[in-house]
Amino acid sequence: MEATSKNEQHLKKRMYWNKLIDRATPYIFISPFYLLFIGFSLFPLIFAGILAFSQWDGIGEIEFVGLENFLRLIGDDVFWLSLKNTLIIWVVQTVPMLLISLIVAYIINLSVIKNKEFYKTTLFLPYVTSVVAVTILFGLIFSNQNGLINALLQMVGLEPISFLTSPFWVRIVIAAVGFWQYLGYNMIIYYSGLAKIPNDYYEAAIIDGANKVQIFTKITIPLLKPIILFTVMMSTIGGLQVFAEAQILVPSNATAEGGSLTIVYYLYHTAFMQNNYGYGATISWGLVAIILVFSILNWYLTTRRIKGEE
Amino acid sequence: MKRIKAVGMLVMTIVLALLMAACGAETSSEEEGKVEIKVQYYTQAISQGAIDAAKEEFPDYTLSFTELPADANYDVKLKTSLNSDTAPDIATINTNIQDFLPYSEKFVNLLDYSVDDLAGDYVDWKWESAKTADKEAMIAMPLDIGPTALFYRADLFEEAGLPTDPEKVAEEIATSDDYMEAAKQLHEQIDKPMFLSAVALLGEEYRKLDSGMYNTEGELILADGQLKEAWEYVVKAVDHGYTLGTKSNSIDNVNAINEGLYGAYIGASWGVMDVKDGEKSAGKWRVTKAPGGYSNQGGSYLAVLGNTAHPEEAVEVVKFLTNLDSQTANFKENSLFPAMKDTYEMEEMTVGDEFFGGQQIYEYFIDAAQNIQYVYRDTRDTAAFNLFSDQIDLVENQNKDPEEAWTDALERAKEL
Repeated sequence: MEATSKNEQHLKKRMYWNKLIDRATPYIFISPFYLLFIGFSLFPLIFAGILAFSQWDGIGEIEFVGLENFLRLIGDDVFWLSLKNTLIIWVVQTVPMLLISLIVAYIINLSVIKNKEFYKTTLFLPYVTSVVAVTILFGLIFSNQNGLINALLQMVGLEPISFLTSPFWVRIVIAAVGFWQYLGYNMIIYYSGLAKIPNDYYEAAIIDGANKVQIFTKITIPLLKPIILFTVMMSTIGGLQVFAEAQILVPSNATAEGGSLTIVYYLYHTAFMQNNYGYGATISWGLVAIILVFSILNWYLTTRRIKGEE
Repeated sequence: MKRIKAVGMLVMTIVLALLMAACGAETSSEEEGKVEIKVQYYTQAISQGAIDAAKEEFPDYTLSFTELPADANYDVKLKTSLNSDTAPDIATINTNIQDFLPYSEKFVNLLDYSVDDLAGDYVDWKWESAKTADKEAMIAMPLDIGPTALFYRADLFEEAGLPTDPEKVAEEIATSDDYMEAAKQLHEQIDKPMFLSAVALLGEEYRKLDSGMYNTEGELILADGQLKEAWEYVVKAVDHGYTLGTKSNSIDNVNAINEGLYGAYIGASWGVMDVKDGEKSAGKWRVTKAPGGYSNQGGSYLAVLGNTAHPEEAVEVVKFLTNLDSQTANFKENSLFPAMKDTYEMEEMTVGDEFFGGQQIYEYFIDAAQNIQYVYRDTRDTAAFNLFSDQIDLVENQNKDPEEAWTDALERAKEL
């Protein structure tokens, strides 16, 4: 009698544990993400929030200074100039990139094009190469004295251009790196969007006598709108965070007036070069605010238009 | 049931977190009761010869050396480890030692281990620069230094009618004004700029100043007006077209060296390797005493971090890694100019260098090493100077008004 109750108890205990393990298993499997998120995203986020209201040189005590950093940010010419640089680079890079990647995706999607996979792979390749390696290559091509482009210019009797020291050109070179690297990525996204558009629409349009341009502007683009919104959003967020390209092309004496200082570069400069981690964190919060504004603007403009047309 | 689920999840999360933490801690186990000492250094700061010798010298310790890239992140990592328990016992510090001096309590005070008995073996200014302003603590021992000399193109100097013999050049181009006069002659005679860039020239002048950007009270003094003089000097060079406008440490500079696009620059001994990158210019460069005063550019230190479990043993290792043999090995293998005076007598310092037309170039670096003066530096010194160097770049490349550029730099320096 006693033995059975003991057995029963034992069984109950085992069932309880089995149930517990059953319930816990999924959480264990998804836990790595949350643990990494807590360690590498949430903690830095909170810490940056605290730092933004403090002064800290990286080693000593963290000193609370209230809103001082934020007030300084509002009146900081360098910050606003670096925002201007970032926006110029972003526009010069993103607008032609998205336009061309859409056209390229459309062309590859055409039935007359053979070897689609080959084109897709080749165009996507720059995306998987290291941004540092790509930038070093661009740096060699656009180098002031012995760059490839300047050598070509001089060969045809033109004056060499100071690509990396002129504020106008340095922004274009930085944008060119991003253009080259992310063209294929956006092309693939557009391509998969194009593949989802039912053929019936196209067939109907052809029967109605629409030409290729009309089909592209009246059918393809409107139906791709949600995907275009996605690429614009992603490019905005990425574009506002341009850093490595600028830092590698102009590793020293980068100034906002010189055109090469982007917001993230300024943040890096302030925090890690001037050991001013507090103000650096404040700049990062300034960037967060700007990205938020742009995302809301993007979302508002595009969704309103999508709704309006439906 | 819900509570059980929550508790289960919490337990599992904690277990996982502990497991992850344990993975990190596992590496510090000490084998066979030996004292384990971890040394962290940036690329090329310590030679393989010195490392091998240290391992042989201390068979009772387990010495592990970790090499980190010599980039801007090195300092960030070092600062982070000053606040952590898994820090190395010994670490190299670059020439910006002033950044760490205010936190001397985070390092082992070497004065407690009577290292001052060795002071006489090292160049004085470098030794003193590892001490806090009140001289109560010393956080590191000198590894190498970067005494500077004038590197100049003898072929261009000859064409322009300037002296070419190193001794003659040292005599005739002795002051900063002489240097500017020579630049004028080079420009007028053969239409070549003397200087690499405004930034490079301002750096040369800054390193020669006998005072820092801040005084010991932390007030911004800009080297008591000397920085403004240096600024005017550079602006003059830019205005007259005596600068090439190319960045140092760039592929463009290698090209400029190869093609002989500029006349001269004041650089550190370790830069000998950089000049040699321009292979086509072999035989055309010479070295002489830098005009306008002695200066130092670069050099490193070895420090014992405060949270080491074996301070006494670590100090022994530091003493060994900065001794005569180690510094000699560093010089032979990595071209690191020794901070220890006795090495200046060695044979390698007196042989002629084919690249420099068979000249014995080191006598000028030795002369500088022994004559450089100690300058007090504040933690913000480098950052403050960089603001001025950023602005002079705009003056050169974008015709920014020099006065406006000066004011902008000054305004920003006040915010540091």
